[in-house]
Amino acid sequence: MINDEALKIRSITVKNFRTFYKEKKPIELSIDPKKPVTVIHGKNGKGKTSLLNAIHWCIYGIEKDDEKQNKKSTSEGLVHSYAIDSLVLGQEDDMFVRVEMVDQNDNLIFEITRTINFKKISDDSIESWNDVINAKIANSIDASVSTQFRFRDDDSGELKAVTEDVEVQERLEIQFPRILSSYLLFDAELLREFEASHEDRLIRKGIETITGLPLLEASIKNLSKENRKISSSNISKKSEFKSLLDTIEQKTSSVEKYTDQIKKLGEENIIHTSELKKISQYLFEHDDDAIKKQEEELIRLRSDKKRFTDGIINAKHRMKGLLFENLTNYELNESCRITAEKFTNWQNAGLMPSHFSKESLQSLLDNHMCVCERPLKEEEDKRYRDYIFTKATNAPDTAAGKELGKISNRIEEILGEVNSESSLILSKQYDELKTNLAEYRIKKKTTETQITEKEKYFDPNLHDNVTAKLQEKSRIDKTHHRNSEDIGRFRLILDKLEPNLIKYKKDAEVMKKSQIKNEVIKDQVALADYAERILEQSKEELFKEFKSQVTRESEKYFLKIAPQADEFSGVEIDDTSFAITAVRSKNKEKTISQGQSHALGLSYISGFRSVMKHNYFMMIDSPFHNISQHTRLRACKFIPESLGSTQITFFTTDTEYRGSIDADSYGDQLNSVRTEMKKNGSLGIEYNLVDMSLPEINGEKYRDTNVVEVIGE
Amino acid sequence: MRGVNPRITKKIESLIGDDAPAELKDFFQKMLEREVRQENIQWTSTEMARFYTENLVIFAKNKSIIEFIRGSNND
Repeated sequence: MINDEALKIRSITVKNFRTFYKEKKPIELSIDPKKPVTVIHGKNGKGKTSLLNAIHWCIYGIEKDDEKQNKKSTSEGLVHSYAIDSLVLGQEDDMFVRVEMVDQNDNLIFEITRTINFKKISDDSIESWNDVINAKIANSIDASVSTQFRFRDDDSGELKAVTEDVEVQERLEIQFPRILSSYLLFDAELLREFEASHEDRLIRKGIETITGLPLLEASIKNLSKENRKISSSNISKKSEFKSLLDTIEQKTSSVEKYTDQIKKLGEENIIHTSELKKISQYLFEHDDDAIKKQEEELIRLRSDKKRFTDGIINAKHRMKGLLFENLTNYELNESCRITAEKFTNWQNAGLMPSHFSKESLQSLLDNHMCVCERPLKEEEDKRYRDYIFTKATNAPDTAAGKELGKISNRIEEILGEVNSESSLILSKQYDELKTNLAEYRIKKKTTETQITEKEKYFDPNLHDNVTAKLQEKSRIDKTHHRNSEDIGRFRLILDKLEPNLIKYKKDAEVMKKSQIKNEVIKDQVALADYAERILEQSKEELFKEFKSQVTRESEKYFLKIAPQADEFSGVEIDDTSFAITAVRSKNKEKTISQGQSHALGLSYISGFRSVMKHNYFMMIDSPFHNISQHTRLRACKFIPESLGSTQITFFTTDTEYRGSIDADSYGDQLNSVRTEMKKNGSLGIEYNLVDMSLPEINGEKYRDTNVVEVIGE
Repeated sequence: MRGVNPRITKKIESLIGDDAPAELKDFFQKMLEREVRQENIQWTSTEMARFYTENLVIFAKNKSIIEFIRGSNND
C-alpha cells in the first residue's frame, strides 16, 4: 500500500433497512490492524447482501444491485415491510443507515447517516412504484430521504456537519468517488467485470481517480493560467505575444479535443469488439448448420424420451405381471402352508375327510364343529346345521364341497411349486425391474430437461432474432469501421498539430526570455515554466508506474491464489481500457474457469489497491463462492496477508465459512475457512445473521434479521 | 481525506533531484496541498489564482530556487 493513512469503518447502525426490523445495536467492525478481518456470515437469504447494500446505499444513495439493473418489479423495498404495513393512519416512522469511519488511530473522520422518513397519510391501498422506498407500495405511504454528512475539518480539527443534499453528494463523491465503489464494496460473483471485454470503460477512470493524479492536472492548469497572465502583461511586444498565446491555446485545445476523441472512439471500439464477439457467437450458434444440428439433436432427444417412456411402461407392465402371476406364491405362501397343516391335522384327528362330499360335511356338522375348529354356539347350532343340511340335501354334490376340494388340491399344488430357490429368483427379477424403472425415470427426466432447454433454442422468434442480430452486427461493424477511420484521421491531424504546438511553445519561451525585461517577472515565469514541466513529467511517469505496479501486483496475487496457476505465465493490462487478461502459458487458447476468473478479479482489486492514495476499507460479498476449498483457503490467507493492515470484511454463507472438506483428491484434510483464519490470526470479529418471525398482519408473514456477535467458540 | 499521495511527492522530489533546495520542494508541496484542500473547501477560481500568483511571487524571490532552476535549464 502506498499510503498508510487508513480509512476504516468503525460501526454500522441500521434501522428498518430491508430485512432488519427496528434499530439494531451498532455492528462494530474490527479496527485492529493485526486482526483486520471481520466476517459476517449466515444462511442464504438471511441478509448478508442486504447489509453490504445498506453501506453502499448510505455512502452512494443507491444500492449496489441498482447500478447493474434498475429493476422496478420487486415489492421488496429499502424499508422493512413490517415497519410500513404496521403503520396506522397518521403514524410515522423512519429507516436509516449510519456508517462511522475512523483513521488508523481510531479518530472519527466521517459519519454518514442516510434516512428515509415515512408516514401513512391515507387509507389508499392502491399500489404504485415509490422511488424513495424503491418498491411498489401503497399510495397511502409518503416517504422522503435526507442525508447528514459529518467530517473532520482539517484546519480546526473539529467535526462539521452538512445536510444540504447537493453539498452532501458533492462531498461524498470527492471522498468516495462512485468509481471507487467497485474497489471498496464489491460482489465477488461479479469479479469477471474486471476482465477484458467486460466493463472496461470504467477502469481507466478508476485508476486515475484512485491514484490522485487529477491533483497534478489541476495544479498544472492553474499554474499555466498564472504563467500566461504574468507573461502577457509584462512582455514588450504584447499583441504579438498575445496572438502567439492564443494560437498555443487554440492548438492545445485542438490537441486535447482530438486526443479525447481518439480515446473515446477507442473505448467505443473496445465495447464494439466485445459486442461483435457476442453476436458472432450467437450467429455461429444459430447458422443453418447449427440449426440443423440442433434439430437433429432435438429429434434424437425426443426419440430417447419415447424410448425411456416405453421402457417405463414395459417395466411397470412386467412388474405387474410378475406380481399377478406370482401373487399366490408371494402373498399366499404362508397362509397356504398353515391351511395345509391344519387340513393334515384335522384329517389325522379324523375330523376332516380326505375328499369333501355331502356325507363328510354332514358328519362334520353332526360333530358340532365348524371347519375352522371353532365349536358352534348352542343357540346357533340348530339354525346353521339345518340351513347347511338343507342346502347340502338340495345339491347332491354340493358346490361347497366341490370348491373346498379344489382349494385343497390347489394348495397342494402351490406348496409343491413354491420353494426358497424360486422365491429368490422371483425377487431378483422384481428388483431388476424396479432398478430399470428408476433408471428409465431418471433418464426420461434428464431428457425432458434437455428437450426444454433445446426447445428454448427454437424460439418462435428465432428467425427474427437472427435477422435482428445480423442487422445489429452490420450496424456495429459500420460504426466500428467509421470509428477506426476517424481514429486514423485524427491521428494524422495530431501528427501535424503536435510538432506545431511544440514549435509555438518554444517561440513563446524565446519571446518571454528575450522580451521580459523585468528580472523579478522573469524569475516568476521561469519558476512557473519549470514547475509546469516537472508536474507534467511526474504525471506521465507516475501513470506508467502505477499501471506497471498494478500489473505486477495483480500477477503476483493471481499466480499465488489461482487454481491451476501453473497454466498461466502472468497477466496483462490493456493500455487503453486497463481491463485485465490472464495470459496462458504457451499461448494455449482456453477459456478461463470460473474459479480462475474469480481469482483474477480478486488479484486485480488487490493490485489496484496497492496504488490507491488512501488505505480504504474493503468489503467483499461472497468471497468464497464458486471456488474450490483449496482456493478458499489460499484466498482467506493471502488476501489479509497481502493487504497488510487494510480493514477487510467478508460477507459469506455459513457453509462456505464453516464447512470443512474431509479429504480432497490427494487425500489431504482441508480446514474450514474459519479454522484457517483463526489459525493465521487474521480474524478479528465475527457475526452471525439469524432471522426470526414477526407477528403476521392480515395473513402476511414477516421476518427480522438480527446480527449476533459470535463469542468464545 | 487529507494529504497528497506520497508517491506523487516522491516522484516530484526524484525529478527535481537531491540537490534541489528544500524551498523548491516546499513550493510543490504547497501547490499540491492546496489542490487537495480544494476538494473540501472549494475556493473560487479568483481565490485559486491569487494563491498561485502570491506563491510564484514569494518563491521566485528565493535566490537558491532561481539559481537551481537556471542551472537545470542549462543542463
